[in-house]
Amino acid sequence: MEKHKIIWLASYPKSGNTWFRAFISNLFSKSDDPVDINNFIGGPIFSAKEIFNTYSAVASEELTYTEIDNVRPDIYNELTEEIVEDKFIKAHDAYTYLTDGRPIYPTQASKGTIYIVRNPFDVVMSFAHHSNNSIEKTLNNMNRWFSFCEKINRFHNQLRQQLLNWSEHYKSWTEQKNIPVFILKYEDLKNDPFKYFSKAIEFSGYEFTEDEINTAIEKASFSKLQEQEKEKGFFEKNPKSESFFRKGENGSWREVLTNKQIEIIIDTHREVMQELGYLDKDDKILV
Amino acid sequence: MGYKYKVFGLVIDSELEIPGLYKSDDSTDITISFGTLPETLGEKSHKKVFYEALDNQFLLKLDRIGKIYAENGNKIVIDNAKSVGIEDIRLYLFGTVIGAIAHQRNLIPLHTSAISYDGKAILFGGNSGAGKSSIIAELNKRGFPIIGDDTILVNKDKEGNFFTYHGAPEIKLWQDLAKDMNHFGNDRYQILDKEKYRYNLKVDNNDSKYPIVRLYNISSLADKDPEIREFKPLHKVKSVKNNTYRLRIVYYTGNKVNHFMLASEFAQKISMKNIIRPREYINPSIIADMILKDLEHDYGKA
Repeated sequence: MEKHKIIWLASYPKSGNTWFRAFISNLFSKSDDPVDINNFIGGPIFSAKEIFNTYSAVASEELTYTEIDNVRPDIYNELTEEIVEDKFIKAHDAYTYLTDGRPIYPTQASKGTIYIVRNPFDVVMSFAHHSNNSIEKTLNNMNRWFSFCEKINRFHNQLRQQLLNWSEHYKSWTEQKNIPVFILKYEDLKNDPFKYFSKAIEFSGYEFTEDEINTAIEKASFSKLQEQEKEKGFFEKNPKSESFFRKGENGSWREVLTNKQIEIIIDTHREVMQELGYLDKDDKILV
Repeated sequence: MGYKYKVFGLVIDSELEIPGLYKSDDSTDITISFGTLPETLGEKSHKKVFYEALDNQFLLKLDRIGKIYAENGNKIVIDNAKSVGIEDIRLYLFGTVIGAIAHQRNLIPLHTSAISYDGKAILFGGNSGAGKSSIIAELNKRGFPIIGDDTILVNKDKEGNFFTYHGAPEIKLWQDLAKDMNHFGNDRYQILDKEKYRYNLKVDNNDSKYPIVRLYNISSLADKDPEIREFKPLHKVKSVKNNTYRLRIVYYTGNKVNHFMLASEFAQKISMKNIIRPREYINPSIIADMILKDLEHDYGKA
Protein backbone atom coordinates (compact mmCIF):
# COMPACT_ATOMS: atom_id res chain seq x y z
CA MET A 1 0.00 0.00 0.00
CA GLU A 2 1.33 3.42 -0.90
CA LYS A 3 2.23 5.54 2.09
CA HIS A 4 0.42 8.85 2.42
CA LYS A 5 2.56 11.92 2.61
CA ILE A 6 2.63 15.65 3.19
CA ILE A 7 2.25 18.30 0.49
CA TRP A 8 3.81 21.43 1.95
CA LEU A 9 2.25 24.82 1.23
CA ALA A 10 5.40 26.82 1.81
CA SER A 11 5.85 30.55 1.54
CA TYR A 12 7.38 33.61 3.11
CA PRO A 13 4.60 35.16 5.29
CA LYS A 14 1.93 37.24 3.51
CA SER A 15 2.48 35.76 0.10
CA GLY A 16 -0.92 34.22 -0.59
CA ASN A 17 -0.66 30.98 1.42
CA THR A 18 -4.03 31.46 3.12
CA TRP A 19 -5.70 32.33 -0.18
CA PHE A 20 -4.37 29.06 -1.60
CA ARG A 21 -5.70 27.19 1.44
CA ALA A 22 -9.10 28.87 0.98
CA PHE A 23 -9.09 27.62 -2.62
CA ILE A 24 -8.19 23.99 -1.90
CA SER A 25 -10.54 23.88 1.11
CA ASN A 26 -13.43 24.89 -1.13
CA LEU A 27 -12.24 22.58 -3.88
CA PHE A 28 -12.33 19.53 -1.60
CA SER A 29 -15.52 20.63 0.19
CA LYS A 30 -18.78 18.95 -0.71
CA SER A 31 -20.91 21.78 0.69
CA ASP A 32 -22.55 24.47 -1.45
CA ASP A 33 -21.54 27.11 1.11
CA PRO A 34 -18.01 28.52 1.28
CA VAL A 35 -15.82 26.72 3.82
CA ASP A 36 -15.54 28.42 7.24
CA ILE A 37 -12.34 30.53 7.23
CA ASN A 38 -11.43 29.09 10.63
CA ASN A 39 -11.54 25.58 9.25
CA PHE A 40 -9.25 25.64 6.23
CA ILE A 41 -7.22 22.66 5.03
CA GLY A 42 -3.49 23.09 5.67
CA GLY A 43 -3.56 23.76 9.39
CA PRO A 44 -2.24 23.57 11.97
CA ILE A 45 0.89 25.14 10.50
CA PHE A 46 4.22 23.18 10.49
CA SER A 47 5.37 25.35 13.41
CA ALA A 48 2.28 24.76 15.59
CA LYS A 49 3.16 23.97 19.21
CA GLU A 50 -0.05 21.99 19.38
CA ILE A 51 1.26 19.30 17.01
CA PHE A 52 4.75 19.32 18.53
CA ASN A 53 3.41 18.87 22.04
CA THR A 54 1.15 16.03 20.93
CA TYR A 55 3.97 13.86 19.62
CA SER A 56 6.89 14.88 21.82
CA ALA A 57 7.31 13.39 25.31
CA VAL A 58 8.61 16.78 26.42
CA ALA A 59 6.65 19.98 25.79
CA SER A 60 8.31 22.69 23.69
CA GLU A 61 8.29 24.98 26.74
CA GLU A 62 10.70 22.59 28.46
CA LEU A 63 13.19 22.39 25.60
CA THR A 64 15.74 24.75 24.09
CA TYR A 65 15.28 26.10 20.55
CA THR A 66 17.89 23.71 19.16
CA GLU A 67 16.38 20.70 20.92
CA ILE A 68 13.01 21.59 19.41
CA ASP A 69 14.34 22.05 15.88
CA ASN A 70 16.31 18.81 15.98
CA VAL A 71 13.21 16.65 16.38
CA ARG A 72 10.78 18.54 14.12
CA PRO A 73 11.27 16.11 11.21
CA ASP A 74 10.69 13.17 13.59
CA ILE A 75 7.42 14.69 14.77
CA TYR A 76 6.14 14.86 11.17
CA ASN A 77 7.47 11.42 10.30
CA GLU A 78 5.35 10.11 13.16
CA LEU A 79 2.34 12.16 12.08
CA THR A 80 2.46 10.75 8.55
CA GLU A 81 2.37 7.20 9.94
CA GLU A 82 -1.19 7.95 10.98
CA ILE A 83 -2.67 9.89 8.07
CA VAL A 84 -5.17 8.15 5.80
CA GLU A 85 -4.67 10.41 2.78
CA ASP A 86 -2.09 12.91 1.58
CA LYS A 87 -2.14 15.99 3.79
CA PHE A 88 -1.56 19.66 2.91
CA ILE A 89 0.38 21.52 5.62
CA LYS A 90 1.10 25.24 5.62
CA ALA A 91 4.68 26.26 6.47
CA HIS A 92 6.68 29.46 6.75
CA ASP A 93 10.00 27.91 7.82
CA ALA A 94 12.75 28.16 5.25
CA TYR A 95 14.32 24.86 4.16
CA THR A 96 17.17 24.76 6.67
CA TYR A 97 19.44 22.08 8.06
CA LEU A 98 19.72 20.85 11.64
CA THR A 99 22.84 20.44 13.76
CA ASP A 100 23.03 16.77 12.70
CA GLY A 101 22.88 17.74 9.02
CA ARG A 102 19.33 16.56 8.36
CA PRO A 103 16.87 18.99 6.76
CA ILE A 104 14.14 20.39 9.02
CA TYR A 105 11.52 19.11 6.54
CA PRO A 106 11.30 15.30 6.65
CA THR A 107 12.31 13.94 3.24
CA GLN A 108 10.57 10.55 3.42
CA ALA A 109 7.30 12.03 4.68
CA SER A 110 7.12 14.70 1.96
CA LYS A 111 5.36 14.26 -1.37
CA GLY A 112 6.06 17.73 -2.69
CA THR A 113 5.97 21.45 -1.99
CA ILE A 114 3.86 24.16 -3.55
CA TYR A 115 6.01 27.22 -2.96
CA ILE A 116 4.00 30.44 -3.20
CA VAL A 117 6.05 33.57 -3.84
CA ARG A 118 4.98 37.22 -4.06
CA ASN A 119 7.02 40.26 -5.02
CA PRO A 120 8.78 41.78 -1.99
CA PHE A 121 7.24 45.26 -2.50
CA ASP A 122 3.75 43.93 -1.82
CA VAL A 123 4.97 41.51 0.84
CA VAL A 124 6.48 44.33 2.90
CA MET A 125 3.19 46.25 2.79
CA SER A 126 1.12 43.26 3.83
CA PHE A 127 3.61 42.00 6.43
CA ALA A 128 3.84 45.44 8.08
CA HIS A 129 0.05 45.58 8.30
CA HIS A 130 -0.21 42.02 9.63
CA SER A 131 2.42 42.53 12.35
CA ASN A 132 1.35 46.08 13.10
CA ASN A 133 4.98 47.11 12.56
CA SER A 134 6.44 50.04 10.63
CA ILE A 135 7.47 49.59 6.99
CA GLU A 136 11.05 50.35 8.05
CA LYS A 137 11.16 47.60 10.68
CA THR A 138 9.42 45.08 8.41
CA LEU A 139 11.79 45.87 5.58
CA ASN A 140 14.73 45.39 7.91
CA ASN A 141 13.38 41.97 8.92
CA MET A 142 12.87 40.92 5.30
CA ASN A 143 16.42 41.90 4.45
CA ARG A 144 18.20 40.05 7.25
CA TRP A 145 18.31 36.47 8.53
CA PHE A 146 15.14 36.65 10.52
CA SER A 147 13.40 34.25 12.90
CA PHE A 148 9.67 34.47 13.39
CA CYS A 149 8.20 33.89 16.91
CA GLU A 150 11.68 33.79 18.43
CA LYS A 151 10.84 35.84 21.47
CA ILE A 152 8.62 33.36 23.19
CA ASN A 153 5.91 34.79 25.36
CA ARG A 154 2.60 33.43 26.45
CA PHE A 155 0.70 34.60 23.40
CA HIS A 156 2.64 32.54 20.93
CA ASN A 157 1.20 29.22 19.95
CA GLN A 158 3.97 28.64 17.44
CA LEU A 159 7.57 27.46 17.55
CA ARG A 160 10.44 29.59 16.34
CA GLN A 161 10.63 29.64 12.54
CA GLN A 162 13.81 30.52 10.68
CA LEU A 163 12.77 32.61 7.69
CA LEU A 164 16.25 33.75 6.65
CA ASN A 165 15.82 36.80 4.39
CA TRP A 166 13.20 37.03 1.62
CA SER A 167 15.59 35.85 -1.14
CA GLU A 168 17.25 33.17 0.95
CA HIS A 169 13.85 31.80 1.89
CA TYR A 170 13.05 31.28 -1.80
CA LYS A 171 16.50 29.90 -2.58
CA SER A 172 16.42 27.52 0.38
CA TRP A 173 13.51 25.77 -1.33
CA THR A 174 14.63 25.97 -4.94
CA GLU A 175 18.19 24.84 -4.24
CA GLN A 176 17.30 21.73 -2.21
CA LYS A 177 16.88 18.48 -4.14
CA ASN A 178 15.05 16.29 -1.62
CA ILE A 179 11.45 17.41 -2.16
CA PRO A 180 9.90 18.25 -5.58
CA VAL A 181 8.88 21.93 -5.65
CA PHE A 182 6.25 23.71 -7.73
CA ILE A 183 6.77 27.49 -7.80
CA LEU A 184 3.53 29.45 -7.82
CA LYS A 185 3.69 33.22 -8.21
CA TYR A 186 1.01 35.23 -6.43
CA GLU A 187 0.91 37.61 -9.37
CA ASP A 188 0.12 34.74 -11.75
CA LEU A 189 -2.65 33.55 -9.46
CA LYS A 190 -4.16 37.05 -9.51
CA ASN A 191 -3.92 37.39 -13.28
CA ASP A 192 -5.15 33.96 -14.27
CA PRO A 193 -6.44 32.07 -11.23
CA PHE A 194 -7.93 29.19 -13.20
CA LYS A 195 -4.73 28.40 -15.06
CA TYR A 196 -2.41 28.54 -12.06
CA PHE A 197 -4.64 26.96 -9.43
CA SER A 198 -5.20 24.13 -11.94
CA LYS A 199 -1.45 23.65 -12.40
CA ALA A 200 -0.90 23.47 -8.64
CA ILE A 201 -3.68 20.91 -8.25
CA GLU A 202 -2.21 18.82 -11.05
CA PHE A 203 1.20 18.95 -9.32
CA SER A 204 -0.47 17.71 -6.12
CA GLY A 205 -1.77 14.65 -7.94
CA TYR A 206 -5.49 15.48 -7.91
CA GLU A 207 -8.00 15.78 -10.75
CA PHE A 208 -10.94 18.17 -10.77
CA THR A 209 -13.25 19.46 -13.51
CA GLU A 210 -13.10 23.04 -14.82
CA ASP A 211 -16.42 23.77 -13.13
CA GLU A 212 -15.20 22.50 -9.77
CA ILE A 213 -12.06 24.63 -9.98
CA ASN A 214 -13.97 27.76 -11.03
CA THR A 215 -16.52 27.29 -8.24
CA ALA A 216 -13.72 26.92 -5.65
CA ILE A 217 -12.02 30.09 -6.95
CA GLU A 218 -15.29 31.99 -6.60
CA LYS A 219 -15.92 30.73 -3.06
CA ALA A 220 -12.36 31.74 -2.09
CA SER A 221 -12.63 35.27 -3.51
CA PHE A 222 -11.23 38.07 -1.35
CA SER A 223 -14.64 39.67 -0.93
CA LYS A 224 -16.06 36.39 0.41
CA LEU A 225 -13.08 35.90 2.75
CA GLN A 226 -13.40 39.47 4.03
CA GLU A 227 -17.15 39.02 4.61
CA GLN A 228 -16.50 35.93 6.71
CA GLU A 229 -13.73 37.62 8.71
CA LYS A 230 -16.03 40.55 9.46
CA GLU A 231 -18.82 38.21 10.52
CA LYS A 232 -16.99 35.69 12.71
CA GLY A 233 -13.33 36.75 13.07
CA PHE A 234 -10.27 34.81 11.91
CA PHE A 235 -8.12 33.07 14.52
CA GLU A 236 -4.96 33.40 12.43
CA LYS A 237 -5.16 37.18 12.52
CA ASN A 238 -2.48 38.86 14.62
CA PRO A 239 -4.36 40.30 17.64
CA LYS A 240 -2.49 43.57 17.04
CA SER A 241 -3.72 44.09 13.47
CA GLU A 242 -7.15 45.23 12.31
CA SER A 243 -7.87 42.50 9.80
CA PHE A 244 -6.15 39.54 8.12
CA PHE A 245 -7.76 39.78 4.68
CA ARG A 246 -6.80 43.31 3.78
CA LYS A 247 -6.73 44.06 0.07
CA GLY A 248 -5.24 41.11 -1.72
CA GLU A 249 -4.39 43.62 -4.43
CA ASN A 250 -0.92 44.34 -5.68
CA GLY A 251 0.64 47.75 -6.18
CA SER A 252 -0.26 49.79 -3.08
CA TRP A 253 3.48 49.99 -2.33
CA ARG A 254 3.81 52.53 -5.16
CA GLU A 255 2.15 55.20 -3.02
CA VAL A 256 3.86 54.26 0.24
CA LEU A 257 7.44 53.05 -0.24
CA THR A 258 10.11 55.72 -0.61
CA ASN A 259 12.62 55.59 -3.47
CA LYS A 260 15.29 54.74 -0.93
CA GLN A 261 13.26 51.77 0.39
CA ILE A 262 12.61 50.52 -3.16
CA GLU A 263 16.31 50.80 -3.88
CA ILE A 264 17.20 48.80 -0.75
CA ILE A 265 14.76 46.02 -1.70
CA ILE A 266 16.22 45.82 -5.21
CA ASP A 267 19.80 45.88 -3.98
CA THR A 268 19.17 43.10 -1.47
CA HIS A 269 17.04 40.82 -3.62
CA ARG A 270 18.08 41.62 -7.22
CA GLU A 271 19.08 38.09 -8.21
CA VAL A 272 15.87 36.38 -7.12
CA MET A 273 13.66 39.24 -8.31
CA GLN A 274 15.21 38.94 -11.77
CA GLU A 275 14.82 35.16 -11.73
CA LEU A 276 11.12 35.53 -10.94
CA GLY A 277 10.57 38.27 -13.51
CA TYR A 278 9.89 41.01 -10.94
CA LEU A 279 12.84 42.98 -12.35
CA ASP A 280 14.54 43.05 -15.72
CA LYS A 281 18.29 43.04 -16.14
CA ASP A 282 18.38 46.86 -16.06
CA ASP A 283 16.55 46.96 -12.72
CA LYS A 284 13.29 48.04 -14.33
CA ILE A 285 10.44 46.97 -12.05
CA LEU A 286 8.00 44.66 -13.84
CA VAL A 287 5.24 44.29 -11.23
CA MET B 1 16.70 5.07 50.78
CA GLY B 2 17.01 8.59 51.95
CA TYR B 3 14.37 11.25 51.61
CA LYS B 4 10.64 10.51 51.98
CA TYR B 5 8.09 12.87 50.51
CA LYS B 6 4.41 12.96 49.71
CA VAL B 7 3.32 14.57 46.46
CA PHE B 8 0.38 13.83 44.10
CA GLY B 9 -0.95 11.67 46.96
CA LEU B 10 1.99 9.29 46.50
CA VAL B 11 4.76 8.61 48.98
CA ILE B 12 8.17 8.79 47.35
CA ASP B 13 11.30 7.27 48.82
CA SER B 14 14.10 9.07 47.06
CA GLU B 15 17.88 9.03 46.84
CA LEU B 16 17.54 12.48 45.30
CA GLU B 17 16.87 15.34 47.66
CA ILE B 18 13.99 17.40 46.29
CA PRO B 19 13.72 20.71 48.14
CA GLY B 20 10.30 22.07 48.94
CA LEU B 21 8.34 18.81 49.05
CA TYR B 22 6.14 17.78 51.98
CA LYS B 23 7.81 15.10 54.11
CA SER B 24 6.06 11.84 54.96
CA ASP B 25 6.66 8.63 56.93
CA ASP B 26 3.87 6.63 55.28
CA SER B 27 4.52 3.45 53.32
CA THR B 28 6.31 3.94 50.03
CA ASP B 29 4.48 4.02 46.67
CA ILE B 30 7.39 5.00 44.41
CA THR B 31 11.16 4.74 44.72
CA ILE B 32 13.55 7.16 43.05
CA SER B 33 17.14 6.02 42.70
CA PHE B 34 20.24 6.77 40.66
CA GLY B 35 21.60 4.13 38.31
CA THR B 36 23.04 3.39 34.91
CA LEU B 37 20.36 2.99 32.27
CA PRO B 38 20.63 1.25 28.89
CA GLU B 39 20.54 3.22 25.65
CA THR B 40 17.36 1.45 24.60
CA LEU B 41 14.58 -0.70 26.01
CA GLY B 42 15.29 -3.18 23.25
CA GLU B 43 14.12 -4.03 19.76
CA LYS B 44 10.47 -4.35 20.71
CA SER B 45 10.16 -0.94 22.33
CA HIS B 46 8.29 1.89 20.61
CA LYS B 47 10.89 4.50 19.78
CA LYS B 48 9.31 7.94 19.77
CA VAL B 49 10.31 11.58 20.16
CA PHE B 50 12.44 11.85 23.33
CA TYR B 51 11.22 8.51 24.69
CA GLU B 52 10.88 4.78 24.34
CA ALA B 53 7.98 2.77 25.74
CA LEU B 54 6.97 -0.84 26.32
CA ASP B 55 4.35 -2.42 28.58
CA ASN B 56 4.68 -0.54 31.86
CA GLN B 57 8.14 0.73 30.96
CA PHE B 58 9.01 4.25 29.92
CA LEU B 59 12.44 5.73 29.15
CA LEU B 60 12.86 9.47 28.76
CA LYS B 61 15.93 10.35 26.69
CA LEU B 62 17.11 13.92 26.55
CA ASP B 63 20.79 14.46 25.73
CA ARG B 64 21.11 17.59 27.84
CA ILE B 65 20.08 15.85 31.09
CA GLY B 66 20.58 12.12 30.53
CA LYS B 67 17.88 9.46 30.95
CA ILE B 68 15.02 8.85 33.37
CA TYR B 69 13.23 5.49 33.53
CA ALA B 70 9.78 4.76 34.98
CA GLU B 71 8.49 1.23 35.56
CA ASN B 72 5.23 -0.30 36.82
CA GLY B 73 4.13 2.99 38.33
CA ASN B 74 6.36 2.44 41.34
CA LYS B 75 9.99 2.81 40.31
CA ILE B 76 11.96 5.73 38.87
CA VAL B 77 15.65 5.49 37.99
CA ILE B 78 17.69 8.54 37.06
CA ASP B 79 20.82 8.14 34.97
CA ASN B 80 22.43 11.45 35.75
CA ALA B 81 25.44 10.90 33.51
CA LYS B 82 25.47 14.61 32.68
CA SER B 83 25.65 15.51 36.38
CA VAL B 84 22.92 18.10 36.01
CA GLY B 85 21.35 19.74 39.04
CA ILE B 86 18.03 19.12 40.70
CA GLU B 87 16.45 22.10 38.86
CA ASP B 88 17.06 20.45 35.48
CA ILE B 89 15.83 17.08 36.65
CA ARG B 90 12.70 18.24 38.45
CA LEU B 91 11.33 19.94 35.33
CA TYR B 92 11.03 16.47 33.73
CA LEU B 93 10.46 14.45 36.92
CA PHE B 94 7.29 16.36 37.84
CA GLY B 95 6.26 16.68 34.20
CA THR B 96 6.75 13.91 31.67
CA VAL B 97 7.94 11.24 34.12
CA ILE B 98 5.14 11.63 36.67
CA GLY B 99 2.78 11.61 33.65
CA ALA B 100 4.18 8.22 32.59
CA ILE B 101 3.99 6.90 36.19
CA ALA B 102 0.35 8.02 36.36
CA HIS B 103 -0.48 6.20 33.12
CA GLN B 104 1.22 3.08 34.52
CA ARG B 105 -0.86 3.35 37.73
CA ASN B 106 -4.09 3.78 35.74
CA LEU B 107 -4.59 7.31 37.02
CA ILE B 108 -5.52 10.10 34.59
CA PRO B 109 -2.76 12.71 34.40
CA LEU B 110 -4.44 15.90 33.24
CA HIS B 111 -2.57 18.82 31.72
CA THR B 112 -4.44 21.16 34.03
CA SER B 113 -3.90 23.55 36.92
CA ALA B 114 -6.19 23.51 39.94
CA ILE B 115 -7.34 25.49 42.96
CA SER B 116 -9.37 24.52 45.98
CA TYR B 117 -12.80 26.15 46.16
CA ASP B 118 -14.16 25.40 49.60
CA GLY B 119 -12.30 22.06 49.59
CA LYS B 120 -13.41 21.14 46.07
CA ALA B 121 -10.93 20.85 43.21
CA ILE B 122 -11.60 23.20 40.31
CA LEU B 123 -9.46 22.28 37.29
CA PHE B 124 -8.36 24.53 34.42
CA GLY B 125 -7.33 22.95 31.11
CA GLY B 126 -6.43 24.23 27.65
CA ASN B 127 -3.46 24.36 25.31
CA SER B 128 -0.08 25.75 26.37
CA GLY B 129 -0.43 29.51 26.56
CA ALA B 130 -4.19 29.41 27.22
CA GLY B 131 -3.68 30.99 30.63
CA LYS B 132 -4.07 28.11 33.11
CA SER B 133 -1.28 29.23 35.42
CA SER B 134 -2.16 32.92 35.26
CA ILE B 135 -5.74 32.14 36.31
CA ILE B 136 -4.78 30.03 39.31
CA ALA B 137 -2.15 32.64 40.26
CA GLU B 138 -4.85 35.31 40.28
CA LEU B 139 -7.29 33.10 42.22
CA ASN B 140 -4.52 32.28 44.69
CA LYS B 141 -3.96 36.02 45.19
CA ARG B 142 -7.61 36.14 46.27
CA GLY B 143 -7.11 33.42 48.87
CA PHE B 144 -7.90 30.19 47.02
CA PRO B 145 -5.18 27.56 47.67
CA ILE B 146 -3.32 26.12 44.69
CA ILE B 147 -3.65 22.34 44.41
CA GLY B 148 -1.31 22.01 41.45
CA ASP B 149 0.01 23.73 38.35
CA ASP B 150 0.25 22.09 34.94
CA THR B 151 -0.11 18.44 36.04
CA ILE B 152 -2.99 17.05 38.09
CA LEU B 153 -3.38 13.32 38.74
CA VAL B 154 -6.98 12.15 38.81
CA ASN B 155 -7.78 9.24 41.16
CA LYS B 156 -11.03 7.28 41.51
CA ASP B 157 -12.22 5.75 44.79
CA LYS B 158 -14.27 2.57 45.28
CA GLU B 159 -17.52 4.53 45.18
CA GLY B 160 -16.59 5.89 41.77
CA ASN B 161 -15.81 9.44 42.93
CA PHE B 162 -13.00 11.34 41.26
CA PHE B 163 -10.51 13.22 43.42
CA THR B 164 -6.99 14.59 43.48
CA TYR B 165 -4.19 15.52 45.86
CA HIS B 166 -1.65 18.33 45.95
CA GLY B 167 0.77 18.27 43.04
CA ALA B 168 4.34 19.57 43.09
CA PRO B 169 4.36 22.75 45.23
CA GLU B 170 5.29 25.11 42.42
CA ILE B 171 3.87 27.40 39.76
CA LYS B 172 5.41 28.42 36.43
CA LEU B 173 4.80 31.96 35.26
CA TRP B 174 5.97 34.13 32.39
CA GLN B 175 8.04 37.09 33.53
CA ASP B 176 5.56 39.75 32.37
CA LEU B 177 2.84 38.20 34.48
CA ALA B 178 5.05 37.32 37.44
CA LYS B 179 5.79 40.97 38.14
CA ASP B 180 2.15 41.40 39.24
CA MET B 181 2.31 38.34 41.47
CA ASN B 182 4.52 39.49 44.33
CA HIS B 183 2.77 37.17 46.76
CA PHE B 184 4.85 34.26 45.39
CA GLY B 185 8.05 35.87 46.72
CA ASN B 186 11.49 35.56 45.21
CA ASP B 187 12.12 31.83 45.59
CA ARG B 188 12.22 31.30 41.84
CA TYR B 189 14.27 29.66 39.07
CA GLN B 190 14.46 30.57 35.39
CA ILE B 191 13.32 27.83 33.02
CA LEU B 192 16.00 27.19 30.34
CA ASP B 193 16.27 30.04 27.83
CA LYS B 194 12.66 31.15 28.42
CA GLU B 195 11.42 34.32 30.07
CA LYS B 196 9.56 32.01 32.39
CA TYR B 197 10.13 31.21 36.07
CA ARG B 198 9.28 28.38 38.42
CA TYR B 199 8.21 29.62 41.85
CA ASN B 200 8.33 27.36 44.90
CA LEU B 201 5.08 27.40 46.84
CA LYS B 202 5.01 26.97 50.60
CA VAL B 203 3.58 23.63 51.71
CA ASP B 204 1.95 23.34 55.12
CA ASN B 205 0.01 20.16 54.54
CA ASN B 206 0.05 17.81 51.60
CA ASP B 207 -2.42 15.23 52.87
CA SER B 208 -5.66 16.88 51.78
CA LYS B 209 -7.84 15.01 49.34
CA TYR B 210 -9.96 17.13 47.02
CA PRO B 211 -13.09 15.88 45.23
CA ILE B 212 -13.01 17.10 41.62
CA VAL B 213 -16.21 18.93 40.75
CA ARG B 214 -15.47 21.09 37.73
CA LEU B 215 -13.14 21.26 34.74
CA TYR B 216 -12.94 24.56 32.90
CA ASN B 217 -11.38 24.31 29.46
CA ILE B 218 -9.82 27.60 28.36
CA SER B 219 -9.72 28.45 24.67
CA SER B 220 -9.10 31.66 22.81
CA LEU B 221 -10.94 33.12 19.85
CA ALA B 222 -10.16 36.22 17.85
CA ASP B 223 -12.03 39.38 18.83
CA LYS B 224 -14.23 37.70 21.43
CA ASP B 225 -15.24 39.13 24.77
CA PRO B 226 -14.58 36.63 27.55
CA GLU B 227 -17.47 34.34 28.43
CA ILE B 228 -18.25 30.99 30.03
CA ARG B 229 -20.19 28.47 27.96
CA GLU B 230 -21.71 25.11 28.73
CA PHE B 231 -20.03 22.10 27.10
CA LYS B 232 -21.88 20.11 24.50
CA PRO B 233 -22.04 16.54 25.91
CA LEU B 234 -20.25 15.02 22.90
CA HIS B 235 -17.35 17.44 23.31
CA LYS B 236 -16.70 16.45 26.91
CA VAL B 237 -14.88 13.19 26.16
CA LYS B 238 -12.86 14.94 23.46
CA SER B 239 -11.87 17.66 25.89
CA VAL B 240 -10.69 15.15 28.52
CA LYS B 241 -8.67 13.44 25.78
CA ASN B 242 -7.18 16.78 24.67
CA ASN B 243 -6.33 17.69 28.25
CA THR B 244 -4.70 14.36 29.06
CA TYR B 245 -1.06 14.85 29.87
CA ARG B 246 1.23 13.02 27.41
CA LEU B 247 -1.71 11.04 26.07
CA ARG B 248 0.33 9.22 23.46
CA ILE B 249 2.47 7.49 26.10
CA VAL B 250 -0.59 5.45 27.02
CA TYR B 251 -0.77 4.12 23.44
CA TYR B 252 2.51 2.29 23.98
CA THR B 253 2.50 1.32 27.66
CA GLY B 254 -0.37 -1.16 27.57
CA ASN B 255 -2.89 0.93 29.53
CA LYS B 256 -4.90 2.31 26.62
CA VAL B 257 -8.24 0.57 27.21
CA ASN B 258 -8.26 1.32 30.94
CA HIS B 259 -7.38 4.91 30.26
CA PHE B 260 -10.19 5.50 27.78
CA MET B 261 -12.80 3.86 30.00
CA LEU B 262 -11.70 5.96 32.94
CA ALA B 263 -11.53 9.16 30.87
CA SER B 264 -15.05 8.56 29.50
CA GLU B 265 -16.42 8.01 33.00
CA PHE B 266 -14.67 11.18 34.19
CA ALA B 267 -16.20 13.14 31.30
CA GLN B 268 -19.67 11.88 32.20
CA LYS B 269 -19.43 12.57 35.92
CA ILE B 270 -17.55 15.85 36.12
CA SER B 271 -19.18 19.17 35.34
CA MET B 272 -17.33 20.83 32.47
CA LYS B 273 -17.50 24.33 31.03
CA ASN B 274 -15.64 26.33 28.40
CA ILE B 275 -13.93 29.61 29.18
CA ILE B 276 -13.66 31.59 25.95
CA ARG B 277 -11.09 34.36 26.07
CA PRO B 278 -9.81 36.77 23.43
CA ARG B 279 -6.43 35.96 21.88
CA GLU B 280 -4.98 39.32 22.86
CA TYR B 281 -3.80 40.07 26.41
CA ILE B 282 -6.55 40.21 28.96
CA ASN B 283 -6.11 41.07 32.62
CA PRO B 284 -6.40 37.77 34.59
CA SER B 285 -8.56 39.57 37.18
CA ILE B 286 -11.36 39.93 34.59
CA ILE B 287 -11.38 36.18 33.97
CA ALA B 288 -11.08 35.46 37.72
CA ASP B 289 -14.14 37.66 38.45
CA MET B 290 -16.11 35.76 35.84
CA ILE B 291 -15.05 32.36 37.23
CA LEU B 292 -15.82 33.25 40.84
CA LYS B 293 -19.28 34.47 39.85
CA ASP B 294 -19.87 31.20 38.01
CA LEU B 295 -18.60 29.08 40.92
CA GLU B 296 -20.67 31.04 43.43
CA HIS B 297 -23.74 30.44 41.29
CA ASP B 298 -23.10 26.70 40.97
CA TYR B 299 -21.59 25.82 44.36
CA GLY B 300 -22.40 28.72 46.68
CA LYS B 301 -20.05 31.30 48.17
CA ALA B 302 -16.71 29.91 49.32
